[in-house]
Amino acid sequence: MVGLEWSTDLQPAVDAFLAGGPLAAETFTDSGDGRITAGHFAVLRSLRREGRLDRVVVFDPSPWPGTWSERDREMAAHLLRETRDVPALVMAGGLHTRLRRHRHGEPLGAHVAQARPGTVEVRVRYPGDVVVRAGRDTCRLRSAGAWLELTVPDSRPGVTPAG
Amino acid sequence: MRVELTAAERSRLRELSVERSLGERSGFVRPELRSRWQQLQDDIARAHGVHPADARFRADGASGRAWIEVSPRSAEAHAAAAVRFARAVEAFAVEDLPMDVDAASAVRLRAKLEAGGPILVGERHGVEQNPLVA
Repeated sequence: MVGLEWSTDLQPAVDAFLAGGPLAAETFTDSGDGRITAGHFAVLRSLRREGRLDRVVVFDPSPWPGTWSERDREMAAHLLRETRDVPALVMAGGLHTRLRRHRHGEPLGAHVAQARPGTVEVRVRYPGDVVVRAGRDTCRLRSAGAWLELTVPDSRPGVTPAG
Repeated sequence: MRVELTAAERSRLRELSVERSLGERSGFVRPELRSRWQQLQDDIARAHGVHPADARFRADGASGRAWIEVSPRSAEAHAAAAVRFARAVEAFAVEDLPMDVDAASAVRLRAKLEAGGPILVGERHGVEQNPLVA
């Protein structure tokens, strides 16, 4: 299962796409912040066709509650309710996936880790952040204290629905 | 068309704009803050039945009033954006990328997965995403 920090309003359109239907692209055309890109849909479809993806759960509440921490608590509750004991790969903004409280508040990751002791945090690093010693097409996963660090190869501008 | 914002909406925008202006003064606005700002505006627009792409937020510092100017994009523009996006999905080349995992990470990841996970991947929203990675 894959979890994405996309609006829960989009779940029916995502489900229909994964069921083999055409992409209802007009449903997504107000998204321009990079959370949703063409690459996401292409990868999800590919995983599904290969039998490696059962479900996608989108968990960003709509509308947002009043505070940062309330939003993260709702995201975590939705995610935990939908995933139960199913193995899941969850992608969200790096401040939401932290496993401990920080200056923005109590993050999603802290709630999930409390309920699921097997929770692991992976922080993505980008080519501009570090000197990449491995090949430029290679992902590197390293232990970095309490979390793992994934250094990704070259990134490129994504195509967002808002264009 | 003009849509006046409620006191609560003005308050939420004001609160976040203080954080933004601090960042702008220092020459760096955290990507997370940009994302929250955009999301807040989108939510407020939707709450008034306005498509976020059609909303322009305006404020008058002297009176403290704030409002949305609505300039609807044409139906053709919406449709064109949807077509462009659908084409981009079809054109995206999905490929496996080689992974270099050190021994300690492999052991830790395996143990966590055996305990049921989940794996939480924290990314930076914006143009640097690489959906091939996860």
